[in-house]
Amino acid sequence: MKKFFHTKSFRVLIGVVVVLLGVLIYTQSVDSSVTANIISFLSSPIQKASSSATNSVRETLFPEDEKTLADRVAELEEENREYRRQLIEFEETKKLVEQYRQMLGIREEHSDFSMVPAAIISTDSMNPFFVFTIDKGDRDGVSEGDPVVSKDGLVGWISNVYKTTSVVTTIFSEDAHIGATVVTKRETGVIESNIKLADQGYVRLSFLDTNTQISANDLVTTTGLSGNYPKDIMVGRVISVESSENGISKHAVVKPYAKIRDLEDVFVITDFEGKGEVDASELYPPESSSQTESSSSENSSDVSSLQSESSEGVRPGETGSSSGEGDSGEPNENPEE
Amino acid sequence: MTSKTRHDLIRYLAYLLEFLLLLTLQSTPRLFPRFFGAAPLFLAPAACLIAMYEPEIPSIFIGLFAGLLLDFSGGGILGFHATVLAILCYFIASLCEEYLQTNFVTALILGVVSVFLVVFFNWVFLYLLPGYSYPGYAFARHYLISFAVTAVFVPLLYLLNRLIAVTIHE
Repeated sequence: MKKFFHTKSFRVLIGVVVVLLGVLIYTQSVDSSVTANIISFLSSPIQKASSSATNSVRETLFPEDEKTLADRVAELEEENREYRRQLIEFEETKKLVEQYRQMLGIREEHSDFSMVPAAIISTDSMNPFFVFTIDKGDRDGVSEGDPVVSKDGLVGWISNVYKTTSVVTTIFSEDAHIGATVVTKRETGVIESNIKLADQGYVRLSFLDTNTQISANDLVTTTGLSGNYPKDIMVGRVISVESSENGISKHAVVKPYAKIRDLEDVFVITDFEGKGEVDASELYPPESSSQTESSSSENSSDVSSLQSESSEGVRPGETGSSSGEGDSGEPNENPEE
Repeated sequence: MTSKTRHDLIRYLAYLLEFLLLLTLQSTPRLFPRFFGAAPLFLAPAACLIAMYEPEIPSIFIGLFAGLLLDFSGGGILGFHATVLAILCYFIASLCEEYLQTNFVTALILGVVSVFLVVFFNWVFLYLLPGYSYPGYAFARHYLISFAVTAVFVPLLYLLNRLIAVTIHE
């Protein structure tokens, strides 16, 4: 047994484990990783090609029935191959046009957005919250914390960025804490989720007042207060309102508009008006106390002062945590900004 | 370059292509069906089964590479799966070199146990310790099903890696 620990191979193992632990600690403390960028550079073309091929095959027509005569059959087979090739090219072009049309549509609604279209190239097999990887990274202008949307609504945020790819954490994740509002009822809350809700395809709008007026079919959008997400991004539709576990507030079960588990393409919002700026004016309207009035009139971005002065049952500000640690980090601490 | 070195290089290249193929199979959306929402994890048992045929030091790096691919394709901590698989592959290679005969039964047992360990450590370090809610539900509903779905493919992966190890050998 003693001899086992003195073997060369065991020493190599110890060395490799020490290096890996160093890499592990290093990548947790800084944003970039040379190793991940190298692997990303090598494997992302294969993942992109595989994803694209899978989507094309699914949309291709089945071959037509062949005629019985041998010459006619051969001729038709050749013709068929040519048509199929053209159809695949056509479908690709159509998809690209549709993607740009969606992008233009979102741009027309939100002219201040800078967006990068991206395709989903892989999903994480082990993550229960449906984390996926897109084919755009740091060199395309994507940075950590950037919101990710589809043509239907909010999808999630960029949690890890590499040179050519990025990892997206969806709103199904327990790390999601996104300020949202029901505009018609002028009530705000925080979009959160857990694994049970995620399995059903729902999220929840938490920290609602016990006398909330929110009801089924109400539309939920982002508030944009923290500067992490633009304002008025569609989130979903209220399914039901229930009492929370703490007994002092309520939450609404929300069905997201974005079909997150069936997505093929998304858009990363790399810049928007108000990015990184905390807007407390909606949380503290003029009729509140003088202390909160002075805070809102100064347009303070001091989150700690907001937290100490808050007298409402709504969590002040939004957070979009970028790691799998379960923390809710403050948006302004994003080192990319 | 000796014949043995040439055969080793070709064999490692074959393993590399196998890993890239398995990564594509397990992570490309809608390419491989999901069972009860869980996807199979091909890379982990593949690396461990390869380690049954390789010496200890190359097995460490085979596990490391497979783990890095797993880390990169997901949203977890970079280096986590690399560390787990490097250690697992080393011990499997040691066991097979000294104590165990490499055959279908031992491959099945080692493959299934290694998949369970990878899934279990994944649950502990990336779900339970970060403090996410309903850990028991997550383990039963997602991680155990992923383990079961992956374990079904262990015999196939054993046959594939046995073919590579035996065919591309001096």
